Amino acid sequence: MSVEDVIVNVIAWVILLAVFVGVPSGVVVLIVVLMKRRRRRATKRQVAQRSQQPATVAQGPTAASASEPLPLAGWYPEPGRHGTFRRWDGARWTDDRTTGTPEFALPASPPVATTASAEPALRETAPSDPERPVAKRSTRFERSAWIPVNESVVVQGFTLHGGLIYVGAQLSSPRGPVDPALINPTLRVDSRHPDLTGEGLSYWPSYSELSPASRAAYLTWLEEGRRNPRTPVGYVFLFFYGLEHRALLDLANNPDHAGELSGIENEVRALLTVYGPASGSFRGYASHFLDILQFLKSRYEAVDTEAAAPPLIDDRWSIPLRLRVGLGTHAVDAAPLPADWALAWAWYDPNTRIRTPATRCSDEFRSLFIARYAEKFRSGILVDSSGPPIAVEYHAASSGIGSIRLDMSGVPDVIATSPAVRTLAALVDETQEQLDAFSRFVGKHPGDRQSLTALSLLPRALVESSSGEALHSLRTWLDGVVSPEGTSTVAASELLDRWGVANTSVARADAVSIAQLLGLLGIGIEPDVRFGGATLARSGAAILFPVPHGDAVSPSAEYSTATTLLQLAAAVSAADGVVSAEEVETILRRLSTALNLEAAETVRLLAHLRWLSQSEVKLTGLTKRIAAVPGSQREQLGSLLIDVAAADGTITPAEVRTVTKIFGLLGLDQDSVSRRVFAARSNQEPVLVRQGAPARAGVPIPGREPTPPPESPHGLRLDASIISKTIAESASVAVLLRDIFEEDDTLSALPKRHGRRSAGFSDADGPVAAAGATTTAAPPNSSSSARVAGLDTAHSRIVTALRGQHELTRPAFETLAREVELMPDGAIDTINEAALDLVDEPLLEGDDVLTVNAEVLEEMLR
Amino acid sequence: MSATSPIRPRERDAVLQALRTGVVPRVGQQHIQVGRANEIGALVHDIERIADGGSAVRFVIGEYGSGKTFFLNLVRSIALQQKLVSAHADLSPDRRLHATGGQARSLYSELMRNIATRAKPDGGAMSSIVERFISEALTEARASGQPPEAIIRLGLDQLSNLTGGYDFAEVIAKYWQGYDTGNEQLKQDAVRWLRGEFATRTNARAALGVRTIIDDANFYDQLKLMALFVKLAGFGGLLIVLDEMVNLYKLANTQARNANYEQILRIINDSLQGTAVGLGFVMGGTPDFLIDSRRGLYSYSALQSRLAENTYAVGGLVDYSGPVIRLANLSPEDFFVLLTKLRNVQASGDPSGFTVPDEGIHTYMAHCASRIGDAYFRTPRTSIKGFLDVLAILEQNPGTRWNELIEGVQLAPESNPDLLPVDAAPEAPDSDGWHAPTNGDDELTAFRF
Repeated sequence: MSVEDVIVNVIAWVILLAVFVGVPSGVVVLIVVLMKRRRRRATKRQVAQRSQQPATVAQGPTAASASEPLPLAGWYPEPGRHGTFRRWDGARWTDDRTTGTPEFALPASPPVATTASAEPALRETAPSDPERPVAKRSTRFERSAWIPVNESVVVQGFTLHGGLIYVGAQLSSPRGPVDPALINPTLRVDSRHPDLTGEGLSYWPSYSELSPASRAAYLTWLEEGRRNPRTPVGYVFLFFYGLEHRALLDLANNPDHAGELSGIENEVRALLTVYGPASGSFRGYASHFLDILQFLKSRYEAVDTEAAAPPLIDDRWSIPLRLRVGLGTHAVDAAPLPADWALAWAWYDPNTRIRTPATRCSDEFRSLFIARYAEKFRSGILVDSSGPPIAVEYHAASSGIGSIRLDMSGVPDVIATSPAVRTLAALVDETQEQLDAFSRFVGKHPGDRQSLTALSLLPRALVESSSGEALHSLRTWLDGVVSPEGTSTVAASELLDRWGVANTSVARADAVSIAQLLGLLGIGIEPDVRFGGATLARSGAAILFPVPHGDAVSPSAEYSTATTLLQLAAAVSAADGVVSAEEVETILRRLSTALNLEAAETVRLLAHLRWLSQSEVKLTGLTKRIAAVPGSQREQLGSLLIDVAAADGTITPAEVRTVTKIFGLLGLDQDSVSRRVFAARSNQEPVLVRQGAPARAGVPIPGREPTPPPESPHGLRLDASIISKTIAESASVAVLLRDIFEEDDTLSALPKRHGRRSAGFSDADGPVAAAGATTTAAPPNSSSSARVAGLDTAHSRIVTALRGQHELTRPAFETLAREVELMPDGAIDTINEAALDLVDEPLLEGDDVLTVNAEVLEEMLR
Repeated sequence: MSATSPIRPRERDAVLQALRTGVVPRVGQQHIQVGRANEIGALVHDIERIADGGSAVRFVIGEYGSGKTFFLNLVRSIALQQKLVSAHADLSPDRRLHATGGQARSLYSELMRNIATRAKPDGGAMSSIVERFISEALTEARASGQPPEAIIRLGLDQLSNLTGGYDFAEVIAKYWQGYDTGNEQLKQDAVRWLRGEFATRTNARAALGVRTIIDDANFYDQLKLMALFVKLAGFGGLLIVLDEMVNLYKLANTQARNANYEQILRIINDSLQGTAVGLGFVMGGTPDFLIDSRRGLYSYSALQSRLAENTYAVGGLVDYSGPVIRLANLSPEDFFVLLTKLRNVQASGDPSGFTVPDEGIHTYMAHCASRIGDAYFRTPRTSIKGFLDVLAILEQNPGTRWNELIEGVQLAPESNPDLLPVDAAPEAPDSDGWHAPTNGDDELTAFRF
């Protein structure tokens, strides 16, 4: 008598009772008819099912004939002793016995792969071989059976396809005698009122404790193929518990069945796509479970060390198992760690600081990291393989399992022990820093990733491999115009057009960008603002010349001195309307030897000179710089200018006038100019510029020694030692000179800026008014003198301007800071410190997007 | 910290995440500090002295697991709160106080990379500091009408008196130029120079036009410069926090080790004589590092006399003014308080959010004691981690019962990793300086006929 028969009989009795009690007979008849139909249908189904799938459910832990494989190792009821379990090691009985429920008993089913076609019904009669475990069974479902994937079973009239469930009467779990996932076919099922909404489900559902209605709903779900998206997730969990049990308890230590893990994995993935989006809890458990499955699989399969590293995802909370296993395997194999693995390692390390550049410019970040890694470690670092094996702890969803700890012997958990990751984290840090400027630019202009301005902010390694169209066209053009040796002159407008600079006055930032990108491509440019030159003028020329990679991008003190002198010299030289390149170049060479300029600097100086000779050199521009030259230097400067004027052997009145003028500016004796010029001109031979060495008279004439020929027929003999002395002494002053120069460049290039500055300098409370005058965006500054939170006027203005904003981008903040002439990082620090003083919380947080803490702001503005 | 004060989410996450991965949190230590009032008081006093332009040096000595690193981080947070700038680093085989192969520069880089201000406690505050200095100069420039760069140089004039001060000032000026001309590269290079990341003079000259770099030889001089500079930038002073000093003790080469100890001696002398302005050092290490008479600090006799403890501080009398501060391991009671504090942090300071009652903490401690014995409070790293795991589960799975979870926590005793390399040192065929040419035969220092 099947379970269903019992139920039907019970119901029949109930109906009889109902008739006695007086339920309307029509209803009773209806119920009876329905019952019969249902019963018939079910019976038919069962019969059909059993005939094609001979009850895989029903095996016991029997071993059959010798040709059949032996049962799996595990705890089995001991033959002949009721209530005692004995351990079967897979081949023979061991001496381990236990009387209670063993910690976990394996399902008493023979290896599934080989028994699909076996004839289990025959095994009901126990074989007489006492050397093999035999199950004593009173019913077919006494013990549980694992239904392998894609096999079917019939429970209570429900045909459950697909397998992956436990069916039977007994399955213990580490925490209880009955595993929640076990489908006990003897339990009552109320097929007519399935609890499809899951009302009767508890937090930890267990099949044995479900109501019959809920069981029906669960079986329905299983029958329908386990993908009904409207099913409450509690049923899905119930099924999931079974998978956990199988994978963690049955298969975890059983390499023979590792293949089964894939089936489970596929099922979990499929469930995850259906139920993951709606249930965060299921998503969490299922993804962890997938990790564990991966882990279990990787215990049995060799990890492909050539495989790509795990992808970098934003959620860095947990370290992917695949990464840990992969790193461990590399360590054991003593194989150098490939760059992508190294990157993944650093990425997931909790101590690595991942900032916006790494996420916003992920491609650039990755390629730069890989390039730098290769540069630093060649084929890769070797990871120390000592350390404990990888162990994972898994908190099972199933209440029957709890938490379980698995480890992977032979594969060390290098993540926990190796110090190598610090090196990698430092590399990530550096890489991010190198991308900072680029990242900020991209944040400000998201569409201009491939523009030349953006590329100029990239490190060289990335520029070289970049394939943007704008860059390609620039390269082609440069190849055409720049000769490998010497200098080439191009119109500045050509360059500016490529950079999309339309204004007539070129901003310094644009000029820097041009110089930087050209530098990355191995081309130098003059004028170069980075070296204290003017910005490019649209109508002017630009001088291009090849520079070696790794060349200076910032002037040394000597170079700055040289350009200063050169510029003054050019002014003098141009005074007669003709700049004689030859004479100035002669001086230039002398300058470079005297100053010990490096070869590359000399090349640049030449280019600078060429540029000077092609543009107008105005004395008016020099006025201000000269005014600031300290007294001690002026005399020397004057002498040099006289020498320059006389360099070509002739001194025109115009040159004298210019020199006189400069002398006036220098505060030197103007009357002495003509005398000194005369002295310079009349001395084609070595000149007595200052008191000569008296020793000459006392030294015997070395008869044989030929007198050195004059250097050039018209050449002026400059005393190289004096020049070098001058210049050496001026090294520290160079800095001051350069300041003056930059000030002046600002004057000529950006008159507007100049106005702002001078206002700022002249007026103690000026910056506000001045900024207001030049920037229309400045907020009305009626309350500008109001100070907040103990900050000074400028910082207070920033804080005031933040009113009503919740967050602002870093470029926006930079603009804000520039308006009040503050530097962004310093301003953030000062403001946050004031905020911390006031309310113990910073006002601005974040890196690229600054979040404004509204409460703090309110407090500060109070 | 009262139990009811709310805890900021950022600090909460930082504390929990760090402890769960087994490292000491960088912020929010005040929420979980247990006891040690005298020790902290002594350090607070030091910090005040540094802020007044004085100097200080302390050795924080404690056994493995006694919370040295935690204590150091707390001191660091206090210093930041007092408007000092802090910089911290762990010593390691490639980061030392004195070296010739770039290891001292490497330590300097690490320190400067981690340089932090109160508003930027996580490190990386170098540009903030430089910009604050320059901002001051700009304000002054506006007031006096002089060009900013001249003011910057004027301000840095007193740096020029110190070793390497001229180029330091030059680099600061370069930073300003970079800002002024929109040249990000120059700014970045200036910061890199300040952080000691230029390995060769040629590179430094190409990038910034300066002739010197920060290298092994001027490690300490540069720290003194930096201390002066942060004072000029408006901060109270500079606190250098060095951890894992035991790495010096582990140096097998006597000469290399003594050279490092000499550097320490120099630091102590400067500090005690008041030559260093606004500069403090706090160094953490194990007792071996201090008292081992063969390789510890006491092996260097000049240091032994300076670091000797007050001989009258016995029998319950204490003296916290000496340069050495000893940290005792936690007691079970301390550990209990610590767990309640962790629970408080996890509930963001809201007692209604507690997921485990006090009884649960007792149970947990009993569970730990049964698994790993005394180690659970002496080296509490793993037991703290386990406790936080339990709290995390309870928080994410409401309805779970704490007593079931606690039973399931797996614990394994920890071993002191410092002990291993010392034993292994003689065999380790390490390169330069890490292996004594005399095969570790340290005793033979003189040979007489």
